[in-house]
Amino acid sequence: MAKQDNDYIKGLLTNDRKVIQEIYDKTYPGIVSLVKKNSGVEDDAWDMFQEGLILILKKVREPNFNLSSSFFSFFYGICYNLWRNELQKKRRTEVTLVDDNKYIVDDNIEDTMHKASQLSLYKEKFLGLGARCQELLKLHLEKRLKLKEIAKTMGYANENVVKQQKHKCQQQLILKIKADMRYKELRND
Amino acid sequence: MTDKDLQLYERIQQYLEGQLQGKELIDFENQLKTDKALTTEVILHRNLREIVEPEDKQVTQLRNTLQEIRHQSQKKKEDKPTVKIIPFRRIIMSVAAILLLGVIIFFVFINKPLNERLFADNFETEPISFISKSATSRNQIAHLQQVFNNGQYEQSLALATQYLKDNPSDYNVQLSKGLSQLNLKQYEVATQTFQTLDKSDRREAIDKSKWYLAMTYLKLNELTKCKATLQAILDEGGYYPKDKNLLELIEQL
Repeated sequence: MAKQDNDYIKGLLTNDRKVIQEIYDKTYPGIVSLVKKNSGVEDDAWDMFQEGLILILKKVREPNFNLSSSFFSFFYGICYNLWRNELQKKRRTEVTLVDDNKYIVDDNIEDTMHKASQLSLYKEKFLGLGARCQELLKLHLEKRLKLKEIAKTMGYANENVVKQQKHKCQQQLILKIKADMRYKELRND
Repeated sequence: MTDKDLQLYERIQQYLEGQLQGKELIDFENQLKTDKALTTEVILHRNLREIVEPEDKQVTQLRNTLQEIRHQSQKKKEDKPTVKIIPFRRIIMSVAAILLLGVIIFFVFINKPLNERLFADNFETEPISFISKSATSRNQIAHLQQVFNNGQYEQSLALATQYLKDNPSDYNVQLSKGLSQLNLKQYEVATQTFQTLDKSDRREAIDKSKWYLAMTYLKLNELTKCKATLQAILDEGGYYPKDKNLLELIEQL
């Protein structure tokens, strides 16, 4: 029996090996072909495939998510945009891929890509911070350590110093993000 | 960074960490509804958390499953026998080699040489009726006739050789000797035996010896000598087996 789109989503959410294998078998050759036709190699296609599927997993977990196209159109659209963004980042110019007209424009895809692009920009800027700032923000945001613990771990005099330093690092990061031309296009106004 | 900024970031942080409660929370959410700049800041701060957030369990599981699938797929690819594209030139050469082999097999094993074919078609060892000239030799001749007509040529050759020591002019025994040699593939000596007979004064001996001499030449692939001998039989109206076509045989040589 042919699978419904929801079966693929359910399979992703439950990490169902068979379903994920089926998605791989049905879509991966097409993604390889798209990437190879557009200046990429198979490893690039694999990165797009993997990141695309993770983006979909994150998207379908949102409470109000509703698939408005077929699962495969949605997935191809995500991979298409991921690769186009990747090329644009490399070439620093607008890119139109071969087979451009084959991929549908969908609100879900645009929304997912928008979020993915934002995160990509933030990560890029985060990695541009100094090592101390990166460590401090990680301890605060990732490890959820209290200011007192951060002070002890990183050798700051007290919590207040950590608080000041944390705000400085966050402000630095925000300024870097806001200074990037892409931020204006990506911000949620 | 101003103190005002610090205070704002502190409040956003508290909001995102769920530390705002009661009136503080209501006021902040009301402000979010009207203040677009604040909304943008909150989204930016929320997204900042995602940069450093570790991957959740579901994403890690999916990543692992995908790695397994890729690993298996690559292994399958490696295990598949590679399909070699044989160049067109190699195909042509292979076909030519097969054809050549076929031709060699045809000529070596199927298509016997002309002399062999003609020999097989024309040579037969006719039975000989020996005539005993004395009572003492009767048993010898009877024995010779028996073994010769039975195709026991080694014995017939031995008996004929022995007999000819005492009776060298017995053309029937000489003929049996030549035919025994021919059947035993002693072609050179058979030639000599038939040539000797051919020089005898017995017409019957000359006739038959010519025919068998021609057959021996044929076997030796001495086609010119064979043709000349057969032509002599034809010219002289000599002996040849009645079921054979002498003229046709000569034409084939």
